[in-house]
Amino acid sequence: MTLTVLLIEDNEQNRYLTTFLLERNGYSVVAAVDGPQGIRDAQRLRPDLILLDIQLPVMDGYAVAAKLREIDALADTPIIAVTSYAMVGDREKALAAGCTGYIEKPINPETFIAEIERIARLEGGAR
Amino acid sequence: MVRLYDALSSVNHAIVWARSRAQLFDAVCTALVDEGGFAMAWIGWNEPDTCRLVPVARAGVHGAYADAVRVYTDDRPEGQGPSGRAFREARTQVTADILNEASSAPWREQLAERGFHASAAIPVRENGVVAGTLNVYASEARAFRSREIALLEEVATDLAFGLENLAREADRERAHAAAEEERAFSAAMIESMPGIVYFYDHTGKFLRWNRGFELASGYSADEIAAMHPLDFFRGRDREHVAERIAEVMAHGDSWAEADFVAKDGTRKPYYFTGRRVTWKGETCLVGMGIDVSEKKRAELALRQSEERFRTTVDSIVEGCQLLGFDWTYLYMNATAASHNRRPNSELLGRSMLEMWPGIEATEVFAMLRRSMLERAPLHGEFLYTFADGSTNWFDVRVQPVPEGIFVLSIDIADRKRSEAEAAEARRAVDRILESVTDAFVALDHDWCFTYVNERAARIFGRTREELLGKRIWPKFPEGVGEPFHGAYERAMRDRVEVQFEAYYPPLGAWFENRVYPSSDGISIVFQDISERKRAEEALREANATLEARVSERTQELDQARRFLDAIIDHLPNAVFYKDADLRFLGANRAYEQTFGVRREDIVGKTVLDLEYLPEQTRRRFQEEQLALLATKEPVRREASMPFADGQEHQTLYSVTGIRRADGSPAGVVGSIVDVTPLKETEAALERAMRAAEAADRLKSAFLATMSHELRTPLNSIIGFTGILVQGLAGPLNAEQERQLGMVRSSARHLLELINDVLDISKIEAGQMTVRSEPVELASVLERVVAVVKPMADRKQLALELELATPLPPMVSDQRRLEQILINLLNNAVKFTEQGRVSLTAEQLDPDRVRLSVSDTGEGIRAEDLARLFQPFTQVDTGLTRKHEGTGLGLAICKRLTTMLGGELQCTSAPGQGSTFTVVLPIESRQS
Repeated sequence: MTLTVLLIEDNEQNRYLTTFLLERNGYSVVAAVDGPQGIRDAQRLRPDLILLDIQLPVMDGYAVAAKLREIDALADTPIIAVTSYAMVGDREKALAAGCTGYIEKPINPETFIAEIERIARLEGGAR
Repeated sequence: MVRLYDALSSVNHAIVWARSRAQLFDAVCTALVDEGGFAMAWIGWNEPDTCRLVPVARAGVHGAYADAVRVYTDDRPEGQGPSGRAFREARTQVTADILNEASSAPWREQLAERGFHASAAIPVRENGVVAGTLNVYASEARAFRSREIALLEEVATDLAFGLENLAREADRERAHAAAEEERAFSAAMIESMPGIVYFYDHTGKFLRWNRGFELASGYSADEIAAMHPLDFFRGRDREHVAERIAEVMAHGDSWAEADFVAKDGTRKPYYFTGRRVTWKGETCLVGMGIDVSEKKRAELALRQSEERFRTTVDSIVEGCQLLGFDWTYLYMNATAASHNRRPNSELLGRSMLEMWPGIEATEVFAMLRRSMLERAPLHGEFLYTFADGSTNWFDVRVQPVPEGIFVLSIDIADRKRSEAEAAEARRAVDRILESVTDAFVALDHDWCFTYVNERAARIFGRTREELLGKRIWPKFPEGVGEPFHGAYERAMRDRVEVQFEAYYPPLGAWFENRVYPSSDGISIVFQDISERKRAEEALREANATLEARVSERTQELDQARRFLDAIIDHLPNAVFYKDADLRFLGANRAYEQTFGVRREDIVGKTVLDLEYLPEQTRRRFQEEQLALLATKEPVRREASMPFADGQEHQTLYSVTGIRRADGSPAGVVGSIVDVTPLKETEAALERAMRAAEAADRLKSAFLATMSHELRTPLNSIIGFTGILVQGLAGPLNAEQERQLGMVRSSARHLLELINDVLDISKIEAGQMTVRSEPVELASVLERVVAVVKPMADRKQLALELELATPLPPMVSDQRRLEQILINLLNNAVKFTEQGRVSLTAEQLDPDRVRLSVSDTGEGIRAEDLARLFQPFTQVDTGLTRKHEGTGLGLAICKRLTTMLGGELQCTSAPGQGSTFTVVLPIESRQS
């Protein structure tokens, strides 16, 4: 069965890049451009994995992660922060907000899929 | 030298333990010989009568030398030796080679015999004056060098100090003995009082009593200590005595007559007097009791003859009255009724105090009372004022009798009248009468003696015949100019009485003189008062000594107090002190300046009265201080108050309670410290700090933003290039693949640059923190080698990992450690064209490990090594630069190593390859 990934990312090119990589690896991808939309989609779709950008308009990724974790149905859903933030404590802040893991941008297209599967303990999309 | 220090130390000990001068002297000599290693030492003390330095202590095998020779302090030949000179000149005399010294001649043989070759004589002072010498001998010539001499002089100084100490000790002992003697004297005085003496406090607890009390009562001291004063009385006496005790406590004194009951039950009539005293702040009673058994027996006898007495007295023309101890009229004769102007029947059996209101204030009553209390016969003349305002003179004689007092009154109104008439005439006679026992001379207007009484003649040592009719001054020329001369002249000239005391040197005696003008000239009455003067002088001296002692002590206390006052007054901060009613006792100068007030104006006021403070502040201060007195908790807080400059000042205000020895509150002391400037600085600092923090946050935000903004597009570039190169978006031809590879390489380099800039910025901003976590070093090393391996493989370089020793578990920051090693390995691979790169790890010592990255590359020139770790430095610079790199890598490595508590160094030479060595603590503390 195909696993669904919710991608919350405001930058169009990056959204396209990540979607391309995920779909190429057999995942079904739903993309949201900001936090509120992402939260609505997550509630509706109950995705198997959420990839979350931190630098977002309206509401930052930490707040989004916290909100998502308040939803009972998403309590165990892996959330991976994908961010170009690299200041002291970014990783800790992300984990504290409820994220399962943390990947720094820029992503390496050759290892990206393997890394998210390792963090989320997923078996892989359609393989 | 060490031995000499030991000797000095022994001397210092001796100062502490020696109880006499002899002990001290002996200890010094013994220490110098036994511990100081000198051949002999002796101390000579000047005998002022003979000028001889008499040996008072000696030590050493040849100690007898001191007694065998005679040394003097004056300038005879035996006084020219070092000891005599040291004494006279008050300075140390050293003889380096005694046997070849001319001044040693008188003793040469003696010295040689004993093998003394060098000597030192040091003056020893007592009370600052040289009083003797310390003489030391050595068996080698030139044994006394400057350090030895300095130490010996120190010994002499210590010895002087020890002597002073002993003198002080003796003084203290004498003072103590004197105090003890005084105490013993007081004790003896109490013991020697007749009857029983006792002292008890207001609860009736006996504090002190004499031996007589124990003897009379039959109780032991321990028993008395546990008894109450009323335990010695029975029946009605108890109440009576209790009343009288209460009277003493209330009015100061009283008396009582009661039966004193001894331990064996025997009773004896006693007459007690008591007086109230305050001792150590407590009201106590000191009293004395006298056995009146004898008197009581007489009383009985008297009673038997009472009848006879009555009939006799009744017929007496003088007024007779008998008053009981309670002032009750017990008996009066007929005359008394006329003196009292009241029928006897009205008074008999009634109290005098009740019948004559106001009598207690009269002089006559005072005398009666005194006689009653002191049991003394007294006599006086009184002008008594009756209730109707009329007056009459009475001669009153009072005699204590067993029932109370017997008062005899005589109407002397007539006598008084005639007395007044005769008074003037009698005065002149009286003067002559008075003079009968004194020396008396009369001089006429020509200063000739007209009368010389026997006594005067005796004092002058001349016969009357010699003087009578002769002028005074030629007979007594020594008196001219003495006080006598002036006084006589004044009396003669001004016709006034002159009285004076003066010393008359020719007779060596003091005289009290009264000079009266008389019709013929002057009369002089005088008396030899030398005896009295001497007694007065002795008393004055005794008083002066006592006063000096007291004033010395007082002065000490006063000085201490003044010292404290001065300190308080000069304190820069306002200080005030108040009594237990919170009324100002005083304040210091700073307080006056702070509030623009004068101390005189606030003393006696409370803070509520201080108009220069806002009312609310005053109330709060008062309440706080009241609470402080109750709770003993000091007040300490910041308070704002207006100063004399009109400005509101921030102050640190503190008040502490002062307690008396018994714990009761004595008052408060407070201080006000102006902290306004401090507060301003604090505020400025805080503003600066906030600004700096804001700037710093701005910087961090900028770095984060820049990092994000640069990475977002790079993410797409690297991502899509990767996808294309992997052929995920479709097949590529060779040229496309080559060019895309270049795009990807450039993008990665750009990313490295961004990361390095971010890292170095974080380090410089102090934002880089390192963790302390368990690190498994061996696996870290394997991982970093694996990361660099592909690049080394591409350049066909051997990449080796050598573990020289077993590696200990470490505590460090794994991520940063990896970053350092990857950076160093990358550099090594980058700058090595052929050969190998090796990573070596070993435990350097129990606390550190050493990690080395070596290569077989081109090496680094010595002058470049110095700036290797500067940011943006790549050794191979300019146009010839052939290696990609940010030039930040080594700078980052250096800083990270430091943050991990380690060191990074590089050794290299051109063509020899390079070795970068990282030494790290096994347990790094977070810095």
